[in-house]
Amino acid sequence: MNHSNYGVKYGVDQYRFAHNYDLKDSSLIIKDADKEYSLAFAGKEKLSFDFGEGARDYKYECLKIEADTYFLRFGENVAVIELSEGRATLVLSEGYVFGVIGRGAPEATHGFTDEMTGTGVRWVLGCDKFTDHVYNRSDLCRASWSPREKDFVEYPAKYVKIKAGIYLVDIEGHAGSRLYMPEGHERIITLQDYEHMLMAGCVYMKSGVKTIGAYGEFPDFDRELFA
Amino acid sequence: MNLKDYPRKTYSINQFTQPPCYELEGESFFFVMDDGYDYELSITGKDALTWNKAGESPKKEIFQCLKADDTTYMLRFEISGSDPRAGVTFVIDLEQRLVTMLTCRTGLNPKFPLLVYSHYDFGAIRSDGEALPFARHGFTSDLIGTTVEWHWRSGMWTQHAYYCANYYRIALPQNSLARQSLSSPVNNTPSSDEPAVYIKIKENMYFFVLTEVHSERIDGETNKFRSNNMAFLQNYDRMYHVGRTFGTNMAEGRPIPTNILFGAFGNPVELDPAFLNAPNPYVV
Repeated sequence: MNHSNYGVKYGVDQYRFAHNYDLKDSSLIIKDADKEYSLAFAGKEKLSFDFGEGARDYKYECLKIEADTYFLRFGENVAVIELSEGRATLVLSEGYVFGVIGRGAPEATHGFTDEMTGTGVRWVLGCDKFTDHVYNRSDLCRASWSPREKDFVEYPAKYVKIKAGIYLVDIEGHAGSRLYMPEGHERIITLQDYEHMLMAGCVYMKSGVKTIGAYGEFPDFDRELFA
Repeated sequence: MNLKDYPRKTYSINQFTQPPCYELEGESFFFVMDDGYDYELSITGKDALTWNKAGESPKKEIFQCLKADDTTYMLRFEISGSDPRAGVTFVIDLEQRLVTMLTCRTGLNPKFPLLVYSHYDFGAIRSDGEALPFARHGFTSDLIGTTVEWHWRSGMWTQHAYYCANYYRIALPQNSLARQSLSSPVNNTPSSDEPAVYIKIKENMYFFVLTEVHSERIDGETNKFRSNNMAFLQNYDRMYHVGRTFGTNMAEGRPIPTNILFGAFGNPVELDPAFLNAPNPYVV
């Protein structure tokens, strides 16, 4: 029997890595210049998040992008936890928080970057399912989705440098219809590792948030897309 | 900056290796094995463990671990001080409380000392207060007829055909970087067929293991890539695998032991019937 298949059991999340439980039963304090945030992991699925206004419980999903860097989704919030340099980025409804892990004084943190401008990359999310990204400006991105990969649309985008070769990309906007993409797609946040060409992230839809994973390729994009 | 030009390392088959898994740290297992020798395994650090046959003293090893789904782990280590070399790979299946143990050794063949020999043992994971599972992971013919394209790194993919229960064959597509990076500088073998073993772990998850035997016997010392055992824990729901090698490469005329972790993402592929149906020249 030919076991090869087009990932029929899953959709856009076909290549999502196995969930990672390295952080289970641990606690992290994340501090920026103004505030302290705490994440307390209770087992493999639940965490408590406190940003000074009372702790709130969430179900979480954790994906690992490389040895010490984690993509964490809890509710509609995202955290990038980088343990080797002790830094974290929180993407909350209120905005971005760049902090240090631990109670020390905030020093160098993650931050917005224009280093990705000029990059064109294809993220393959599953069999025949991919999204093409052209990072043409530090606040914009041209993106398309298979099977209409020629139909690029320009979206607002944010780019955050996590560390050498690892970036967080946040693209907002509707992707359109008749795509290998959940209907009602509104936003995609991806943690991208340019050393290993792997990506972990999540897509926001009207019906909720779904975590994803992908491998990367570098097709030859039309130079005009970078303008 | 175009991150296509990011100054990354040079990869062969290991760029898409999924990140190492540390979550078993602090866990201990007792494996009740069908061959009659049980094992204890304790994960003492991110990459440190102790293990022993039941009743013997624990030995320390450095290990690596990858996950193929939320509850299924491939954990490997080389047995330190073993001469000739030996390595152990466990597939630890916490969902079904089952384990597969693959032990690889070199140095058993006086004519071809680098040839890798493998031994498989199946067992269950003991859990206090619970009966041992009766079923086991086991050899299977389920995958016969599977053709799959595996993407190993940007621009590099190979095509596998699992055409019988004891062999597999591989194609290196013309436009894939595999043509340059995997083609041996010397390859006198009449075909790519190599011995393979297929083990069912659970529904849509298989442990596929190949050993490069014919290339070693035919090309031998003329080939940079010597006998290699490649173990793939394949998830056909998600169409990806994690894996490891246990083999030898030649560098400056000397054999260098290799233990590479790898991973790849798959998709269906139709292969040329002439390739698929060619006779295996190594069997009568």
